[in-house]
Formats: sequence, C-alpha cells, structure tokens
Amino acid sequence: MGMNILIVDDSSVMRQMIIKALNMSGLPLGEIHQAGNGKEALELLDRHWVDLLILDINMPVMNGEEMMIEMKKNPAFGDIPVVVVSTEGSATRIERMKAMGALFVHKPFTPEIIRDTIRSLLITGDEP
Amino acid sequence: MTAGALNATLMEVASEMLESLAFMFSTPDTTDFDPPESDAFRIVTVEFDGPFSGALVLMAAEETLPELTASMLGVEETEISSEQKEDALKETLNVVCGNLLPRIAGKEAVFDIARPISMSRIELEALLQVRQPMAKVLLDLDAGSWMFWLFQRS
Repeated sequence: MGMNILIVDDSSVMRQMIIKALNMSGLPLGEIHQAGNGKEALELLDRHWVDLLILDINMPVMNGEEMMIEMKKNPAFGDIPVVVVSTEGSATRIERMKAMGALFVHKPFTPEIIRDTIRSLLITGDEP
Repeated sequence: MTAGALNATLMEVASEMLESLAFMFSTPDTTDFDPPESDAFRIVTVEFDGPFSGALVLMAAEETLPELTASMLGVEETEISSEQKEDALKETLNVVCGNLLPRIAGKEAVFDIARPISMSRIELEALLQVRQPMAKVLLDLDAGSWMFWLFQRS
C-alpha cells in the first residue's frame, strides 16, 4: 500500500515540483494532498489519514514552524513524520525544526535528495 | 561586505539557483544598467525582515519564462498558463532570496521572508528614484535578460 503524503507550501509551482520529484522517486505513493499554509494543512489532517508531511517554513496565515508546534499538541498528529523542504538558511531555525523531529531538505533540491530523505526518515528516522 | 562583494554574491546565488531549479544557464553581464524601456518583462518582488530588512526585486524577460516554467513543472512549454509563469518566477525569486540572505548575514541570522508579489514598472522606477540598491546584477540567458536589485529598508 502506498504512502499518503500531505505537501504544504504556499507556492503551487513548488508543490508541483515536489510531486514531480515524488513520482520520480520510486517510493510507493498513495494519495497526495496539498495545502497552501499550516492552517489549511491542519484542517486537511482532520479529514484524511496522512503517513508523511512535506512542509515549507515561510508561508502566510500559519507558517511551518507554527504548524509543527500545533501538531505536537495533538496526539493524533504528533507522530506523523515531517520533512521540511525550505529555502531557510538560518541554522537557528533549522535546529528548532529538527528538535521537533523533522528532517530538513534545502531548496533547490534534487529528486534523489527527496527520495533518500524520505527513505531514511521512514526506516531509521535519521538524515541520509 | 563591500558593494562589489554584494554584487558578486547576488550574481553567484542567482546563477546557481537558476541552474539548480530549471537547468538554465546564465552569463553575468553587468552591474551598470537601468530598467529597460520595453514592456516585454515581468517584475516580481519579495520583502524580508531580520538582522537587516528590505526587498529583492527581479525583472525578467517574458521570453525566458516558458523555458523556466516548463523545466520547473516538467511539462511542455505549450501547456503553460500565464499564471504558472508568474508563479514560477515568484518561486525562483523566493529561492534566490532565501539562499542569498544567509550568505550576506551569516547562517545564524533568522529572516522572515514574505510571499513574493508582482510589481509594476512604475513602482520599480519610483523605488529606484528614492532608494539606492545595495546590490544589482544583470544576467544574460539564452532568450533574454534577468535583472536583480537588492534594497535595504532604512
């Protein structure tokens, strides 16, 4: 059975690029859901089973860091694996996201980096 | 960082991001230029706040956008809408900005980057009248040129 994945990014082009990378990855895919900010994503999580979250940081309404903090408060969402895919260059903010259990992929990315990061997260929880 | 070093950093980051995002190769042209008179360009801007605050502006030749968008989305150039071209340009600017700021301010610096928005030619010219850019570069691509201006908010 394939993984259900929720992609959260305010750029529709970036969401499409991530879907393209996932399709090239060879990973078993189920349903792919999309949201434009953290608030929309939390609403989607209420309605759909998600195995993996791919999350941007800088977004309007609710950013990725705020969304992860909200997820950790909810036992139903707190254990969903998260890969942060962002242009974020601040080591301080990246460490804060990693401390909440996320792995980090820097934009721009290659499909191989997305694939290897997801594989390592699902198998060991460590970075590739 | 000196003005020359800022220009060089902006040029390097913009070229690297174009190559990584869309496999498009650019040649650094000049740092001495004004916005062209032609209407065949789109302008987008992104504001940021952090250890220093300001905006990065990109003016891109319309003819370069089909290749950029098709490459980013993995579709044929004939399948692309005007909205997708705009989104691809905004996302490219977002990625350039996100990678540029830590190279200027260091990896510990935390910046909040706003959502990129469209800008009119009149708005760009008005901005250039009242504010001197920290850095500016012109890149030559196969189908046209891209111009970047980095402004610091006072």
